[in-house]
Amino acid sequence: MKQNYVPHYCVVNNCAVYGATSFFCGFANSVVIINGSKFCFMQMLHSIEKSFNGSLKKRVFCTDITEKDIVFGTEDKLLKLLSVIRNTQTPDIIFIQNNCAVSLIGDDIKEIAASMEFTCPVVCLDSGGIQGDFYSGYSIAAKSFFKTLQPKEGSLTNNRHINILGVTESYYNFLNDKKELVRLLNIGNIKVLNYISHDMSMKGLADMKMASLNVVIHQELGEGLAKFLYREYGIPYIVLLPPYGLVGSEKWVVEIMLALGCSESEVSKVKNIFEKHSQSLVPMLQKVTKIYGELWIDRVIVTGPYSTVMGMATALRTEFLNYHYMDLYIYSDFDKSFINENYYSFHTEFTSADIAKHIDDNEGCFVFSSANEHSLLLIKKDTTQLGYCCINYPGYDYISLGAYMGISGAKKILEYIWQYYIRQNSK
Amino acid sequence: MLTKIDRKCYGCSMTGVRRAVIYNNEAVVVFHSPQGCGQVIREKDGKTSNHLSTVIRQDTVPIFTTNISDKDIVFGAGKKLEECLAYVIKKITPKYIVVGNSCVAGIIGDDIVSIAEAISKEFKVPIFTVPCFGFMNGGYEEGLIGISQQLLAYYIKPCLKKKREITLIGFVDKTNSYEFSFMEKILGEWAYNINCVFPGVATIAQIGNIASSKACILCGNYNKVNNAYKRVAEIIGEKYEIDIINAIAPIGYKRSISWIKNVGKALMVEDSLIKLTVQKEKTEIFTMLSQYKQYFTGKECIIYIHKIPDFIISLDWFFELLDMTGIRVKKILFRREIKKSDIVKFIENCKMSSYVIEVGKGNKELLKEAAYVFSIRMDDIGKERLIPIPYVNPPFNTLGLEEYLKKIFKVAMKNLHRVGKI
Repeated sequence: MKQNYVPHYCVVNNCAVYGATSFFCGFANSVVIINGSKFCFMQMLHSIEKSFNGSLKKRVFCTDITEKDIVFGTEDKLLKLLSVIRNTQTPDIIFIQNNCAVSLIGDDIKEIAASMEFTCPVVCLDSGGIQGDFYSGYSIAAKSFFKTLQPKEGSLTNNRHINILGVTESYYNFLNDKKELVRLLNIGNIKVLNYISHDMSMKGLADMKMASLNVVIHQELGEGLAKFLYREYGIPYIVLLPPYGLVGSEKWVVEIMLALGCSESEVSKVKNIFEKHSQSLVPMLQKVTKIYGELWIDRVIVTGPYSTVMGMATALRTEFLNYHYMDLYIYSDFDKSFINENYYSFHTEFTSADIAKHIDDNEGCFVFSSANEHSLLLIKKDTTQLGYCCINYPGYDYISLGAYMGISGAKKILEYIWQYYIRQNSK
Repeated sequence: MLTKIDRKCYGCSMTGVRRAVIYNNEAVVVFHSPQGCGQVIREKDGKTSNHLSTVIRQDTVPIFTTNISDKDIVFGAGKKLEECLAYVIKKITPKYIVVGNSCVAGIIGDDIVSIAEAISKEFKVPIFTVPCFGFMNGGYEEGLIGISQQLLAYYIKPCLKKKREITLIGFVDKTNSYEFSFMEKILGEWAYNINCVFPGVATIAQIGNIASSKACILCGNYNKVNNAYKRVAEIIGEKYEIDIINAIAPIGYKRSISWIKNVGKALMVEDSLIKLTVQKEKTEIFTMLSQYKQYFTGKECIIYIHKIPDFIISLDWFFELLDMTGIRVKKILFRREIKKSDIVKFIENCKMSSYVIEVGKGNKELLKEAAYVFSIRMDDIGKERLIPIPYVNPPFNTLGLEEYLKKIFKVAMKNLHRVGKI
């Protein structure tokens, strides 16, 4: 949403500190220091901690700067904190970020950190609100990280090894979806060397260049990094829509296999597996269609960042349901040349009222969104008429213990939609 | 040591600015800040989950940010503020605008007051600004007081006639607050209306009527962010000669009764009516307790202090509740890592000296020793079986106590039946 002034009653997107910290916390034994005010730090920590599996309090710290530090510099506070860390922790890597106020006063944090002579690498960057939103922060952090920490040269590549890019625990149900991604890749006999950024380690990253391909899951997070890694280390990359739906999942695996140069017979074996999964669903779906008729939803709403919305919308349109209108509300910037207005209505600048006004009270509506948009719609719409699937998990008003991507995810989404349709048609 | 949270009010002035009009649909908040600040401040008073999935009360005031970016550092972002204010006036047509400034705006030095004055003059919409920038020049409290003061100065109508109306001062969410519902009920019994909750909820018309209120009652005085509201109450009291009633918050049983007596006396309610109200409240609380007593009477509990809060807390209401439900305190156990001097101080503050005090390890075995284990700060070990004591937001009067008793009952039933780790 590139515009001069931003309304904040619908789009949920924080500043670059959140994105950068989410990236850095994906490194298992790391320490993250925010050189900034405590207010911003505490809000960020509360928010990110809720989506990470483990506690971050023991490895994310703040220098707690005040007005005085803006005038006289933050060196003393940063040195004090670094000295405590040196005495109490043994991290594999340290990340230091200036928030927006500190990035304006120009303290040389790299120099300050160097004076402490840590034996582990130290990555320094500016990542405050003026640097942009969550996506910008993630991208800046990723590039700074790889500029500082160059993967080992001369490793042998393996044409079955890949790195997954553009993921973090705090983004769109990743922890649940990860299991399905592994399952899909196993079908193609492909091994993941690193998830960037999730559970990264020095040991894992040392083998990073053994990968023949970098696969980007969420374009808005990972594409910039993929280009950077291609430019710097020559690792080719592929950007695909996330594997939602059975056809979507099959396409995802097959395209990766083709990019890795797998043989046609291998690819056709994979296609057979997906065919069997599809066939296994047919009898049950035929029976339920016979009773309730062809699955139909008047209006489908999908909100989120580009990759998730387009992946989900493509699966819904081509595999799952028949609909009259499909409204796509997209948070992140994207290449508009890819969009096809024949299938969907696209909205990139919107408020709560804009979403609600598209819904007719008499029409059935199914929403795939975060809890934020759902709470907006509940004000306008009777809950019994509104179908809802919280695709951005973790969420406040929802629990999801399984994946949305891959084979299990496809079945789960199909279940949601059918349950809603059956409930609507049983009244 | 590194994770210790300083419990003083370390807030940003933009939070204060927003809270001054938080549940108001006549105003719009404009933050002269990067985009992210708008979401951060908005999340602060919502029920957040993570950066992209938030449930926030949607009747809160709209927020716009001017989206300052690194490109604005050299030439300033004044133009953006001008454009944003004009855009907001045209799009939302608010009755007034409040402007909050980020730390970035303070450092780059935009002349926010002049810009606001010019736009206000051009569009004839009042625009209120504050002389603080993010965490600088005063922070949360100055932001809230600054806007509240200006709203009072601009909208309040001097009035000599005092009606049977009360204005509540404090951070009170009318729809989700047992504190508000209690006050509304009691004041209603005495034939008093609530004019408004100020700041935060009051409309322009209600702000105009504040001077005609018979008194202002300060709410939420248990809360650590209440200093700013106290100051707002003082301003109203001094400037408009209105009595400010700062009664003890109606938390638990005795304090609810005390609130009724003190506020009744301050409002000069007849003694017989106050007695009647007290009697009604007592009946209500004891009727509610009688439903739960059968499950609790004669049971023993352990109070486990995993970590001492960084600010002074009161547990009067909690010990009173245990007493009224017939739960006996077997011992109070402090985690052994806590400093002895801190333990002594905490025991004194919370009036715990009459109980058996132990220092040791909090583990699952505690659950075998007593029917209930209440805790201050969750422990990693078997935390799902502990019952947290809500010391930050303690339960108000009958409704709050009942809600807490239900929680205790549910955990007790879980301890009785469930096995495994889920």
